[in-house]
Amino acid sequence: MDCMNARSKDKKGKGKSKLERREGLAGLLFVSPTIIYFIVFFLLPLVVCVYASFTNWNILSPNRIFVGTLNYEKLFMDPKFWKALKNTLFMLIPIPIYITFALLFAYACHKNILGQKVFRAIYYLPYISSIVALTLIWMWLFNSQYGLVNSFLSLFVDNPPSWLSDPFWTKWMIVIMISWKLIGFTSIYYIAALKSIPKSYYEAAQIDGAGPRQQFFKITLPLITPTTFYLLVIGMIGSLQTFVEVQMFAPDGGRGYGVGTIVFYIWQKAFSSSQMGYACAIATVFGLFILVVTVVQFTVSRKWVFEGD
Amino acid sequence: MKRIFLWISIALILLWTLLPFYSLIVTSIAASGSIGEFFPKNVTFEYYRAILFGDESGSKSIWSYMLNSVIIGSISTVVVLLVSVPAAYGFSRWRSRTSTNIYLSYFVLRMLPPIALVVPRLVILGRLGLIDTFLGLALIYIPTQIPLGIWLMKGFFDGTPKELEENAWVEGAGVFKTFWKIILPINGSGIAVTAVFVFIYCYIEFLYASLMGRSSVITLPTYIAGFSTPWEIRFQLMLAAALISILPMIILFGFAQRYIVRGITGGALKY
Repeated sequence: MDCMNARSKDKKGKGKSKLERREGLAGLLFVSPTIIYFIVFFLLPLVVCVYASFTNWNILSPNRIFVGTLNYEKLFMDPKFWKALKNTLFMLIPIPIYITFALLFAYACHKNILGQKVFRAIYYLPYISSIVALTLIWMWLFNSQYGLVNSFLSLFVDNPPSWLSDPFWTKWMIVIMISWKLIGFTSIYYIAALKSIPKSYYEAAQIDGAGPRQQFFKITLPLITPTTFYLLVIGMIGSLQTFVEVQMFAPDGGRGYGVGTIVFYIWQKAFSSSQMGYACAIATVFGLFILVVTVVQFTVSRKWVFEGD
Repeated sequence: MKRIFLWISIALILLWTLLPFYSLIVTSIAASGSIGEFFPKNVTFEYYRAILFGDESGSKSIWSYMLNSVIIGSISTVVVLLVSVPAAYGFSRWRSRTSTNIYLSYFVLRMLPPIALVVPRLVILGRLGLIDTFLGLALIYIPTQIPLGIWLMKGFFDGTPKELEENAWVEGAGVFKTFWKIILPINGSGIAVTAVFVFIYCYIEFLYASLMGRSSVITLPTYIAGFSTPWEIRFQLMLAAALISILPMIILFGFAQRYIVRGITGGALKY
């Protein structure tokens, strides 16, 4: 990462000239407006959230009492919280699916101009369509009476699943939907990554007698690991925060809370039951969880991500 | 053999992506008896008429909501650019331990679940009396998009040769003048990409919009979702509204597509 380079450069440049120092000041001026934003809209809400998690704050009652770790104790005994956590982890399933397919499609098309144009146009469609509209199409496609999916499935099986009322199938429907949404988008990243691999690598491999399969596994896959890593990080952060799909498909969290995710649970607690303090406690724990997952990903990444020559 | 594989791939991904959209279009024009048919026999445009011009049963036309979305998108985009473009330049050119740490902390904060910040943000805006106002919603969108703006723009500035401004400095131009007269014009396409991304985010954002908009500031996604109530879902109206709401984005894409691909992939290749 280039931040690392910045650090090593910093150490070398001990004797800074006057001009350089003046530029440094200008750099600070360029950056400073964001610091204000950062404090007011990220740090302050964060502090408020953590503080509120130690109170019994409820929108309906004006008095706010410090309750210590009560919310956190409640949280670990709360079966709905654990169910929501399980449902949230379920939402990680689409990541390997769309990454694999996107890579396959990108590999098939990256040398073909028409293929690239097709991708460019269609990856964009799901991306710009508001998520509300998309979930609607999905409800429509998977509708057990009129839906296209079930009329297709009924050709092969007697009882196609009722996607919208059975929590297990609703979760799979969300998995399919997220994969659908992200295959085209992810392909664009892979096409760009594949195009950035110098042709000479493949030519050299051919001279050494490596077949197409060997070339793919020994050259292509290792060289695109930075892109794969980026997609994994972004994908996990996104998947762990699945919310709108749940809200649209299972407005009550599904039968036996079989669909509700953590973010959905936080939202329910905060805005339906107005238990702000408790909602903030869940949000704090979950924020820490995402942070830990991301740090682990970055640590493990040193083992497998290609960092350049 | 290779060609066949190629064409099958293209056909498959086309089918996979477009089938739901086909279903959306077909359902939005199906007369009530023809709902669910793959090729509807009876076609009607009454739902489009209702969305475009309103109808007797009380469903309002789409225009005022679209205007709300465009206003909020425009305010947010302008402010995000004003703040993040200079900041990205600062992060790109003046690398020190402090600036690296600030830059990294933006990334960590971007990873926080937005829901964790929803409650406190709403409380802060409530105290300021900004719930259900354009300014209030823009004040939420702006900080969430600033990290994205910085990240995208930094990618473009990193790709701009340093010699350009070094020459200008030697000629005696100040740091700010160089930035304004030389660096900004060169990166016009980058700024356009960033603007498009921020605008799209604001245009389709649902979570905050549904919580903040009570009556006066209702944006498109909330309007579309409004056709679904616990009692009934008015499918055709909803789908027609959804389709019309996508159209401006498709036009935007027509203008910006070349830059967009560069914009989204630029950063990913570096990290």
